[in-house]
Amino acid sequence: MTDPTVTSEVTISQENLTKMALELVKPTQGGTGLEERAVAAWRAGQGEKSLQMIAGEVCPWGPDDVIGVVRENLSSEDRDPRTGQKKEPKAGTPEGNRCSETEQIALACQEYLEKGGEPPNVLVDSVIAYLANTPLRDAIYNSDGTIKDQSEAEAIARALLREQKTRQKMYQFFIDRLDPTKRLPHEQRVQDLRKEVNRLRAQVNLGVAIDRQIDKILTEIRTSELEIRSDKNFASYQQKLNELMSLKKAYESFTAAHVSGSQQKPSFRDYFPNKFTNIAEVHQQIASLEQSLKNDPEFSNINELLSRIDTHQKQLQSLHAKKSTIDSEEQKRLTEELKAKEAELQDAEALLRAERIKYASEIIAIPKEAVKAYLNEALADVAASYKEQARKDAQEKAKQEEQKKQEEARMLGQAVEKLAYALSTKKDRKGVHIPNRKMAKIWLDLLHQPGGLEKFIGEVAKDEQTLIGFGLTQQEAQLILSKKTDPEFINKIVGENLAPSVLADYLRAGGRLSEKEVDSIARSQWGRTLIEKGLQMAQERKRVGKDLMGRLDELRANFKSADLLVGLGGIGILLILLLKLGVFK
Amino acid sequence: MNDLQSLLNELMNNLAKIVLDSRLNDDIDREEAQEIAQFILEEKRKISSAGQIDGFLNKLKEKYYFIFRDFVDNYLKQKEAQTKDQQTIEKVKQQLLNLVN
Repeated sequence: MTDPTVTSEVTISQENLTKMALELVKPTQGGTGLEERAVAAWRAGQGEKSLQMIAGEVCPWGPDDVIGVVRENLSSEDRDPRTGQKKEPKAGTPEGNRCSETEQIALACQEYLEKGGEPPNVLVDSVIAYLANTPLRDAIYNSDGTIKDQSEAEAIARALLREQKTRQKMYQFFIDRLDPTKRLPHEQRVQDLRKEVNRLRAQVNLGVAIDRQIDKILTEIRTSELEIRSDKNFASYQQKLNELMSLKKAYESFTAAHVSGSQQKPSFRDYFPNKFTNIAEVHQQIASLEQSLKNDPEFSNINELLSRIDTHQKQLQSLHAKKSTIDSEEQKRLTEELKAKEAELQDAEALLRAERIKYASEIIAIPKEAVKAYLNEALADVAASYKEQARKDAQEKAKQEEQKKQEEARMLGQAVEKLAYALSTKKDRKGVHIPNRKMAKIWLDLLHQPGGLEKFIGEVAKDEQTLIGFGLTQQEAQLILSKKTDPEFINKIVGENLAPSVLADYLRAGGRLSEKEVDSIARSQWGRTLIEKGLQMAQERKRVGKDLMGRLDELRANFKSADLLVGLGGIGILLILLLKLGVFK
Repeated sequence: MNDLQSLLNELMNNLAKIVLDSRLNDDIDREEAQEIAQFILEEKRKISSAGQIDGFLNKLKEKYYFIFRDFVDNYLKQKEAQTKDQQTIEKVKQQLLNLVN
């Protein structure tokens, strides 16, 4: 463990903080309580009720279920032996407050889902608070965060809670999060670790307890010894004891010298004081001293204390023997294991606490999340409808632009046709358009110049009035004016149609181009196109004219035979036909 | 309880079993089960005569084919067989009556 982080309630290791963070973002898994209740209803022959539970029409859990699962998962208190349920956390503690708030919201959801009708106030308040973070904020809150109109805010929150989609979502969250079979992942882990830690503690404490007992007995022995020394007869006792010990020692030495079998017999006097004349007297004195030390009433306290010390010594021997059976290596291992398990337990308790906080938050958030889900769906529908409208608008716009383009192209074609007609033709005295060599020449002279096409169209489309003068409508004139600097218009329309038409009229009217003029025009690409197209147009018009004339002769012959030609003014018909067929274009 | 009611009760028990089996086998999730149960209950509420049950079942089969196909097919077959048997009995009865008369 490195760098433990201290929170207001627990100490959490760094690695467990990471683990905890990962755990906290995982969605809570629901149990199978709903299905179990639905199966139970089905087994009882209530198929429809079973379906109603699954459909969310009937709330499968009552208030007791709700309180049970909340306390089971949020309380760290012991179980009530009578009910088997966890006790309510202590009021006023963070855990107590959390549990109480969670129970309040959970019971309100249960009541609303089961009975329907008006949403309980606690749900309404929760939704009003949530709306501060939604697009509906401005409808409810002032800029300083105060509510504009409490009753209006409540009406909005109630309306949102009454929405079918909101109820459905609330039901789903309720079923998932308040399933009576639901347990937090670390609850069991903490219980298992607690058991293990208690077991290890008992094992580790056995050696310590023996040491404590040995210390206690040694203290008692020392106390008894002190008491013996402080006894008023201790000096007399000590004296007698010393005499006894001395005699016994002398006797043992004397006996040992005898038994060794050395050639010279040991002298009695060398071993014993003068008061003893023979060994029998020594024996008698030893017995007398022993008798006195043991039974003399003045030594009764000392003897009692000595007897106590003896008992303690026996106890000590037994404890030492017991302690020697506990392997010190094993004891060390158990102590280390205990420390590791205690640390593990602390981390698991921290994780469990975090899970409890998360679980409480998830339940408290049920009304908000249900409304949020409804709003998201509703807003998604609005967005989809906007998108659809935008798509339709774009389609319509594209269609209109296409139509406008077509109309413009049509108008442009018509305007160019009119211009071609007016620029290099003239009306004869019968009002028929015929090529006008003089006018055509004027335009061709312009075209000969460098930048001829631009100069030509610049002159033709000098201004609106000039164009109207050529027979164009105001709209057509404006269109030509808007196009006259457009390179595509100049090259394609002017270069390939209008200018060649002028040349064709010039040639049809009997005009000729000198070699120099041809050379001058043919210097540019447009100039070569002008000559090619102009010749082509002139030949085409000539061919069509001849063809029509032939057909007209035929027609005239027919009219003659029918004697109708004079009456109808044949030449007039001819001219009308030529005009209609575009011979003079 | 009238005939229609008991018929519907039996049907609801059968359909609930199918939905629960599918759910417990994880063939459908909780949200799908909710949707199916809602559909069944809504359609059931529209039924006012025994004749409408076939239509309801066919609709159910069409909408949730893989879940209800077998049940609906068997149910309708069984019903057809019962109707046939009934018709045969009626026919025999009629013939006997004709003989007596």
